[in-house]
Amino acid sequence: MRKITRYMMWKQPLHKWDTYIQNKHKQNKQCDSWSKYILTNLMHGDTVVYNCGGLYFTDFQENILVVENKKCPVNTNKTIYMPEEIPADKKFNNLIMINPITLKYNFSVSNFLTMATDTRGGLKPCLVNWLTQNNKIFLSFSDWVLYFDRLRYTVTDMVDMQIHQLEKNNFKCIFSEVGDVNQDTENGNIKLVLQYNNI
Amino acid sequence: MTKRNHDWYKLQKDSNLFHKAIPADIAVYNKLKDTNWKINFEHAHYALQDLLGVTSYKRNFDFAVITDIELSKQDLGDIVKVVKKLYDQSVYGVYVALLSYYIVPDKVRPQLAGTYSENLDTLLEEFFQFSSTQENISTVYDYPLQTRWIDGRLDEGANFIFVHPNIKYYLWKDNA
Repeated sequence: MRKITRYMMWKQPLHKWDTYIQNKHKQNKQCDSWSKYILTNLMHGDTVVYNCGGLYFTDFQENILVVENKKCPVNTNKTIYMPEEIPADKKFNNLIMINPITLKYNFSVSNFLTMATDTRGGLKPCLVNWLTQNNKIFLSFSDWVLYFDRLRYTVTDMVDMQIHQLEKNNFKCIFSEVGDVNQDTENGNIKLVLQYNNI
Repeated sequence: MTKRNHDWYKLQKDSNLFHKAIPADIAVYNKLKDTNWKINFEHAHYALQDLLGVTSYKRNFDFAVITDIELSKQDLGDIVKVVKKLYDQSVYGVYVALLSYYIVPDKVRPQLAGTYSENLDTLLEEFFQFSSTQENISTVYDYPLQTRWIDGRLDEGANFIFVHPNIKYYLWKDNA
């Protein structure tokens, strides 16, 4: 397979990557309102961005560690880590995920965050294992990626059920927003900020 | 077809993830290739028309093919109107494919008791009652992450549902 094709395949599911590339040569780098919200509401401490073209965030804040599920086939000036390169004792205060392909076809956000599983985007680690006791999870996604019965439940019903299940599994929802699925397709129409009680 | 999905199809082809055509397209091709029908591809992905190597007829067509994934983002009631219109205009009927991940019903139906795939079958059977015969060949899978691993690969997504969606019906007229 040609290198350019491999690169296109690699970046295709990473929703922030194209904006990162567009920003590369811009003096005034484009930062959408959800990203601004994330950056202004980060907890003090270490931040990891997972499975979304996370180098985008490094243009706005230093000391953000970027993890993707597959190795970038071309050289990037900044380091992108693989999940297996994160030491078991390394913990983060903030975890950012924007439309991660590893969530695709899942029926449960709680399952996505707490289980190490094989996914459409490759093997996904247990994400809560990366978190310190004081933490925030910024997760946004499109309702198009989740499996749920769209005939029985509205998207708002589905998000309420997801939050209910998250709360039963030691998460606290501190922010949630459900928008129109056709708006903000880069970040997704469902925006959540969660805290995990890492007992 | 959005540029993103359009490019994705090309990319998958360039990556040799499939060769001649995707399986769902081949199934439709096999059904239509010997018919000599005039076909309407107004709402179909170009790959299927290319495969059949025929012209698209906007009027006076025998059969209509609907596979454009973008249509699935419309309200289900509006989609059914499009399907019915093409069905009425055709001589033999239509083939329609919709994506289960995009479906927007006119209203929610909490009384539906089955799994999502079963409920889709129930509702669409009702919506497509205008047709003489329904042939449901859908491949909607419930809880795909738990159930659809084939030879170590997740089938959902790898089965090209973004080019040829997974809710699939032939709606035939009596003369077909």
